Amino acid sequence: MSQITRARARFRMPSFMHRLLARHESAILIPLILLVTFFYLRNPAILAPITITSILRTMAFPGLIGMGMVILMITGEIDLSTASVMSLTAVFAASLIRDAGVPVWQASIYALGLSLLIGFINAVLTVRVGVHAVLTTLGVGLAVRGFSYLFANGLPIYPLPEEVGYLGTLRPLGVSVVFVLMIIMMVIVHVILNRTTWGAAIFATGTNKLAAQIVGINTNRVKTLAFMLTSFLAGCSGLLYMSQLPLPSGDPIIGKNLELDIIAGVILGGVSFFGGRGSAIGTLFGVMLMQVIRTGMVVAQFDPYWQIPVLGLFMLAAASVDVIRHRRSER
Amino acid sequence: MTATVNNSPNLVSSPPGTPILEARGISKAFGHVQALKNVDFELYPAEVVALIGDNGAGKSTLVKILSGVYRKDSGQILVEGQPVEFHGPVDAQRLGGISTVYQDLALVNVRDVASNIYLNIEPTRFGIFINFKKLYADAQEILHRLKIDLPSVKVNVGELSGGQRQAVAISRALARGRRIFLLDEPTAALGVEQQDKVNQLILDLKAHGSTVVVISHNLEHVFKVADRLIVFRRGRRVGTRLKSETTKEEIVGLITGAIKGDAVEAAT
Ligand SMILES: Nc1ncnc2c1ncn2[C@@H]1O[C@H](COP(=O)(O)OP(=O)(O)OP(=O)(O)O)[C@@H](O)[C@H]1O
Ligand SMILES: [Mg+2]
Repeated sequence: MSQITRARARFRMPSFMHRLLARHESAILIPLILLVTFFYLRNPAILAPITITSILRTMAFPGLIGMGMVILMITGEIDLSTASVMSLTAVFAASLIRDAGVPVWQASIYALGLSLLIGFINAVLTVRVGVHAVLTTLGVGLAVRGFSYLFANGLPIYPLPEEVGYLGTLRPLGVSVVFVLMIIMMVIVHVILNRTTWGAAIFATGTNKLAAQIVGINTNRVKTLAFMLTSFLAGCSGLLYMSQLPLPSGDPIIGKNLELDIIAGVILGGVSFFGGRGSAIGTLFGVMLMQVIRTGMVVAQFDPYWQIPVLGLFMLAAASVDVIRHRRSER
Repeated sequence: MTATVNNSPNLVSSPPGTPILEARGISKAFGHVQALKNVDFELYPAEVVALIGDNGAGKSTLVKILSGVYRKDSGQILVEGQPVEFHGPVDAQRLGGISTVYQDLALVNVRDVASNIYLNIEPTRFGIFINFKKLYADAQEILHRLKIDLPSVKVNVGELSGGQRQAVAISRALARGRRIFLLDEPTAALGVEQQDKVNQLILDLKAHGSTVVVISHNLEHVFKVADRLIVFRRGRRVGTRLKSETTKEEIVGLITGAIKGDAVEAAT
């Protein structure tokens, strides 16, 4: 009897907590503000304009990819190959430009086409063949990264014509082209998810496949398009990353270690590993949180080796919240 | 073959005329489980047919084949006497005018009531932006017609009770077509009052000319709403009775096998 009462009490959370858990994009603001405060107390430089700009510039890459990933994960799939796709598109474009004399804009189009193709391959293996997306995209990611190193003989491809660095030198909104692209994509994805029939199809695909199918939604097509969009955004990220390097070059190391920032950021932003949940705005804050931790730990002069484990712990915390919330909704 | 059946004493169990939906010799296996064995099935305009049988008898499997979710292994489906192939649920809706409420409801828990009812047929502006004003108004109207009380059409389906979820699933079927309804255990999750509502709804649909197939384990209900009763046992159709000419005892006997199935049907 007392056990039953206790069990009931556990579920009766304060209603504001309940609402925060329900709307993750606002929930994430709390750790974000706490962390900024914490770092600020250790070193006010975290809020210096130059630091903020640096955070926004760096988070824009995982952020832009995250705007595709959020859709993909709502449909119940995931892509672990995006960081490798960044590398290969940059290397591929660079080599076309330097070795084949292809004009920059044309090489960029080919490289983006390649990223779309990789997204399509991910989709075919996952959706048609039925390999779990984690395995598909892990394998494809390794292969893609490998190709990238082979293609470049392990070395950055340069010199490249000056135009390659052009977009990278621009400072729209005082930040960068990628950042602006990310904001634009965030608005578009937000509208798609919340205001369009596509959004309804995306959520249905990830929540209840049978529900989607009986009303005539082609879940395979929805997932395929989501894979391709994610990979395409990774391609854009790769090209712009190259453009933004101090000495623009097709470096196969581009995107190294970025997987963690993308996936962890998106999950921190409230996307569910189980599909059916997520938002573009949450994704922005999730990715921002990751970068605040990275930059904050540098500014506050923590041992840099702490960065990765701390990021990992934050991701685990977010994943745990996700699981708990999923169980509650299963009841 | 159909002719023989029609000449047999079984004739009394079937209304006259061409069936609006007919299935012949349907078989379906899942691995080693033969869920349906050479099953015939027919529906006539404006009747209520109850599919009854023990757990695992094959009722849901037949419904899913008729609604295009499963592909049959063999057999034929005819709409108004014309052979058709259902490649998916949308085909069943379009070619057969068949709307289905599945046993597991198949709702999108993270979306609201209105979005579930009109999933993939949302009213739009410019073909892509959902017209939420119309969406909510239409949903409200459907629920109103069903005399269903929900806190709001904007509440997420995942937060509703079993009966309310059932109502949403029925509304979704209703929003898509009115010719044939397949209802797989529509009252199983409901309280007494809501069960009565669903029964009344079934009779209303029939009164408006729809044909309704209802699967139920509740013979009380079945005898309240059905005109014809079709009994399944272990993947076979073992009996067909007009309600007016049978008793609960006979039906129970058919379900359990205590009464041997009709020779004509059991032999096929
Ligand atoms: N998707 C499936 N995969 C494997 N076996 C299945 C599947 N669907 C049904 N079956 C099997 O087919 C048989 C018939 O199942 P079905 O769901 O049609 O029964 P039912 O008459 O609806 O039973 P209930 O009254 O319990 O709902 C059962 O043995 C079941 O285990
Ligand atoms: Mg069933």
